[in-house]
Amino acid sequence: MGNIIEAAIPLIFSGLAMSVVFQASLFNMGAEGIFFFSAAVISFIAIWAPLPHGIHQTTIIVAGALVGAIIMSIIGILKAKFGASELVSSLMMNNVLLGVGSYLMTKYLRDPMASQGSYPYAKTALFSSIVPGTRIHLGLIIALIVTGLVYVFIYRTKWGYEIRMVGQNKSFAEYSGINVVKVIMISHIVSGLISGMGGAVESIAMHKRFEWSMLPGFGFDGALIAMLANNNPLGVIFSSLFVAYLRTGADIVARLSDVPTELVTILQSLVILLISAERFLHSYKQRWIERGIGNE
Amino acid sequence: MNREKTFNIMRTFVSMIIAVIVAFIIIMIVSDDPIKSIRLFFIGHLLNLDIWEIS
Amino acid sequence: MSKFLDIILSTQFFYSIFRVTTPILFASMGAVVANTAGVPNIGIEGIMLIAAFTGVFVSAATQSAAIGLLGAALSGILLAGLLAFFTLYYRTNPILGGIAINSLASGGTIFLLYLFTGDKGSATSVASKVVSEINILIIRDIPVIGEIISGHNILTYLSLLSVVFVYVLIKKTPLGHHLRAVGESKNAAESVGINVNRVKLIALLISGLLAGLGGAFMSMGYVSTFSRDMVSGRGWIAIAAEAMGKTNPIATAVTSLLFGASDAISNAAAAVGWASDLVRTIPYIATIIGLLIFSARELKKARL
Repeated sequence: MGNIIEAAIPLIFSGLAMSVVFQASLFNMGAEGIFFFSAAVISFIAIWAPLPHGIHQTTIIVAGALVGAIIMSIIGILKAKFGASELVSSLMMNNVLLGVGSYLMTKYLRDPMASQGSYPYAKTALFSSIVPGTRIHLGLIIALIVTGLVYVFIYRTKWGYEIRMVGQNKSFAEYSGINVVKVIMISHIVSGLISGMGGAVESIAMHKRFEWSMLPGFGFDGALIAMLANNNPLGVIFSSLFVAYLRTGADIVARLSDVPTELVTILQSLVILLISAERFLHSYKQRWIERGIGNE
Repeated sequence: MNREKTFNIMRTFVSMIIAVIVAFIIIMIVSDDPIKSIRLFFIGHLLNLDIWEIS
Repeated sequence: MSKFLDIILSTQFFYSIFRVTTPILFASMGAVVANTAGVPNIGIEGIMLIAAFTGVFVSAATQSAAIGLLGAALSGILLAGLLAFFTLYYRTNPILGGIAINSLASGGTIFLLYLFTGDKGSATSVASKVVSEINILIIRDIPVIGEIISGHNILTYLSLLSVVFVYVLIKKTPLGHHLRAVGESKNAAESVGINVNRVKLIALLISGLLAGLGGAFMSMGYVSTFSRDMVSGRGWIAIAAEAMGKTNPIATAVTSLLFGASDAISNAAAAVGWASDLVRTIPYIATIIGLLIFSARELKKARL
């Protein structure tokens, strides 16, 4: 059970990050690359900065968030000021981040004595488990706090309201005086903060060194999670648990039996197709609603 | 509006159930020992398997 | 640096540009057709990957490159059909549908790869066939130009032909007119009696076919086997090229060539020995910059 929770933590971050951009009807998939890249960048701090326990981790998390925010803002500017498709530029950016991150890894971080991976993170940088017997870590608390913050942000602040308006109908929002450029930038930056944070937290909590050689794949999961949760931060927690459940299940099967983990990816694609299909079960929907009206 | 929201949630559930069914089917077709694979996939975490290194 | 310039200024380099552009060209032509009808095919990347996979395994099973190629093209059409089904009938958002197809492709190909070969990385153990290269008899003897133009893979020449094909299709055929009508104004087209959904379906199927050919080239011409994620974003680059070419086949072909050139440059730089990780990002950065320049000009025009 603990495995599901610890697997869900990065998914919550990713899901939140995606839900923020989805609320604005933006399809930025950059969370993928940012997870990877912020982990790479904070590795420098984690390995070599001589900071005391507590301050070390905080610095790392803040740094990760900033990295994410900066990168996302680049994509945001491309979209907001130039109208460039955020889908294409974010995917291109993911590849770029993979390349630059790998370069940083081979050039600076690589530990010649380890079979794979960077120099080990300093002890003061790591998160340890808070529930004995599992690997559940402080990141869970952080994730839950961020969830609450995102909820308040999206549903209770003016900026959040503007994001939602732009998401529902961009022209109408513009007409009502909402500064769409600002909204695009804000949603991108917030999303970047969250995914950057997620990458940092995941690294120091679950890994002792930087060892990702490919993009870890959280971005796509996050998209699905956001969709399942209908972009509601609270729903994100449950969908993350569900996706974590699927992933750990597939992991077990892959290790002990003969079905590859990609099964989950296939399932996820199917679910995305189904739940984004507005006309799926359309005829039932009509009857359901009409029955409801008849009962009033 | 509330009826519509309920319906959307239900539709999400249906999609998830379909996914689970498809998982069933795929595992059936693919695995040499489908019963074991299915057990592992769906309730594997509850069993205390010592396959993760806690270093 | 001089070694790099040596490589760039050789006929081999220019030859390689055409070679490398082939998949991008096919895919971007597919994007042009789809976009003309107003249905963006966002799943092109995934279709290419699946086509690459299908080409390898069908050609290995039948020991025939031609049938493998056919299989790849068919898989492209089928997948486009799946996308069309969800987008046109179930009204899925085309972007989400495309994203789903792409991840279905990347997960599905690795899944099947493992099932067929027990390997999750590549299909080198499979004896797949390759589409061959041909030499154009007279041209190949022309100095300089001959080396650049002759000797390419059949698919490379096909990709150049596809530009002509798409151009003629869109500008000269009745179907092309339907495509454009539907793309410009769905309602107007409908009022004239055009079956909008059928036209969009055909557009998607054609784009699936072209993308499939592009994918087939990856595993049956560029290299001779399938490896995970081998399309590496070329589908997306093609989509960007189409956006920059404003759905015009000729302009899109030119931008595809430019992106292909950036890919060739990145290969040359890697060959010279510069940091391969960084160098591999050149085509993607070029795409981002391309998008930037294009979109900036678009916005300026809209403002005037």
